[in-house]
Amino acid sequence: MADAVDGPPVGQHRPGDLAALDDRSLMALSQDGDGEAFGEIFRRHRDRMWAVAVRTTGDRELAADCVQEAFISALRRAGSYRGEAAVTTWLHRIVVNACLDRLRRDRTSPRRAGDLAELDLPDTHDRTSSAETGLDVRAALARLPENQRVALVLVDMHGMSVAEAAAVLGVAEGTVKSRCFRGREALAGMLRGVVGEPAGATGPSGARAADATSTSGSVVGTAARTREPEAGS
Amino acid sequence: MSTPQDFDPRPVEEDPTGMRALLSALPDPGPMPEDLVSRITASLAAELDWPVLDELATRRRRRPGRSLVVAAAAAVVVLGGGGLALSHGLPQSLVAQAGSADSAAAGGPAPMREFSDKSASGSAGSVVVVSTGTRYAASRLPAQAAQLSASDPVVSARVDGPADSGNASSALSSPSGARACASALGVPPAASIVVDVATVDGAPGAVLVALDAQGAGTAYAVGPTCGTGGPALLAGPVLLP
Repeated sequence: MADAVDGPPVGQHRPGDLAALDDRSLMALSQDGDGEAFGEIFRRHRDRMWAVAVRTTGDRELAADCVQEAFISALRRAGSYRGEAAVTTWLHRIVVNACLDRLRRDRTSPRRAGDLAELDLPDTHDRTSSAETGLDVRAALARLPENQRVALVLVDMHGMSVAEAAAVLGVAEGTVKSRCFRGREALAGMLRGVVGEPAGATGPSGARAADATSTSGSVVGTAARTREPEAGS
Repeated sequence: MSTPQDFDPRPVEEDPTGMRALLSALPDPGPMPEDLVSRITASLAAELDWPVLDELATRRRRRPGRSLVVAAAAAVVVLGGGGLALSHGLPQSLVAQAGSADSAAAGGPAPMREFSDKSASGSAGSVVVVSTGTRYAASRLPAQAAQLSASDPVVSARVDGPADSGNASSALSSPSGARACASALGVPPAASIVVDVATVDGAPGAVLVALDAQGAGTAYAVGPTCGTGGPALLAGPVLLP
C-alpha cells in the first residue's frame, strides 16, 4: 500500500479500512466526497453487475458499455442514495436500467440482444452438448421480452428474491412473479421448438431435452416473442 | 393497476417447465474483464478528478521540493482526457483493481525516478499515460523523447485531453492498452513505461518510453494500433541519455 514519504496522500484510508466497512457506510463516505469509498463499492460489486449486464443484454460488448455507464451514473448519483434500499439493490437498478435503456436505443441496430446466437456462436464442431444447451438457452433468453428476461435474470439466474427483484425493477412483487412464470413458459416453448419435445419432459431441469437434440445453438425462427399483459406495478 | 397475476398464489420457485433450474445452471459470465475494470476505473477517476485540478496544481506549486509518494504496488497514472485525477484523487481501491496503484506526484523529482525504483524492486512496472500535445517527428524522436523522459508528466500533461492527437488510439490511452503495446515492443513487464498519446509525423500515434531498473530510457514511436496485434513501430528504439 502507499508509503507516503511526503506530499499529498495517495489515499485517505489505511489498507483494509474500507474493506471492513459495509456498503451503507461506504455510500455515506462516498456522499461526503470520498472517492476511495466508491472505489471499494465498485470493487465489491463489479463482477455481479457485469454478470447481470451480460445476461440482460446477451452481448458482452454491449454489457461493457452498459456497466461502465451504470457505474459512472451511480457515482454521479451517489448523493441521491437515501439508504432505503440495499446498496446492491440500488446498483442493480441502475445497471438494469442502463441495459434496458441501451437496448431500447439500439433496437434498430443489427447488434442487439436478439442477435446473441448469431454473434457468439462458435464452430459447432467444437461444441460440447452442455455448451450447446447453454447457447440454446441463452439465445432463447435473448429473445424474450425485456421485462421477462430481466425478471428471469434476477430471480432465476441470480437467485434474487421476488421482493428484491421487485425493488430493483420498481414494480409489484406480483408483477415479478408474473414475468417469471410467463418468461419460463415462453422459454420452454422456444426450446421445444429446438428439441421437438416438451422442454421439461426429461427431468426437472429440462436440460437433457435440449442436450439431446439441439444442433444449431440458435432458436432463430422458432422464437415467437410473447407479449405479456403488463401487470400493475 | 392490479391484474390477476399480482395475486398468483404460486411461489416463484414452483416451475413445472423446468426453466428455472435450467437457467440457474447456466455458467456465470465470469469476473469483469480486466480491460473493462481498467476502463471503468479510469472513467470513475476522471469523474472524481475535475473539482480538484486547480487544487492539485496549487499544491504542486506550493511544495516544489517535495519527494514523491511511493506506492508499494505498481503504479498507474492516467493523464489527459480528465485523467489527471489519478495523480491526486484516484481511489486506491480503484487503482488496485486496475492491477496497478497510484503514483501521486507532489512535485520535486520526476515520477520517472520513482518508476525506476519500482522496476528495481522486481514488481510490475508502472504505467503513465499522458497527452502532452507534442507533435512528434520520427526524425526528432531522440530529442523529443528525451524531453518527455526528463519532464514531469504531471506538470506537462494537458488536462483537456489529447486534442492534437486526433483519433489517436483509445487503446493506447488506457493502462492495459499501453502495457500491451509495450509488450508488443518487447518491453519486459517489470519496466515502467510512459506513453504520450500524441501525433507522430502528423498522424495519430504515441511515443512510448520504457525505463529499466537503472532508470535508463528507451523510446519508441508507434502507431495507434500498437498492441496485442503488433507493435506498429514507426521509429526507434532509441536509447535515451
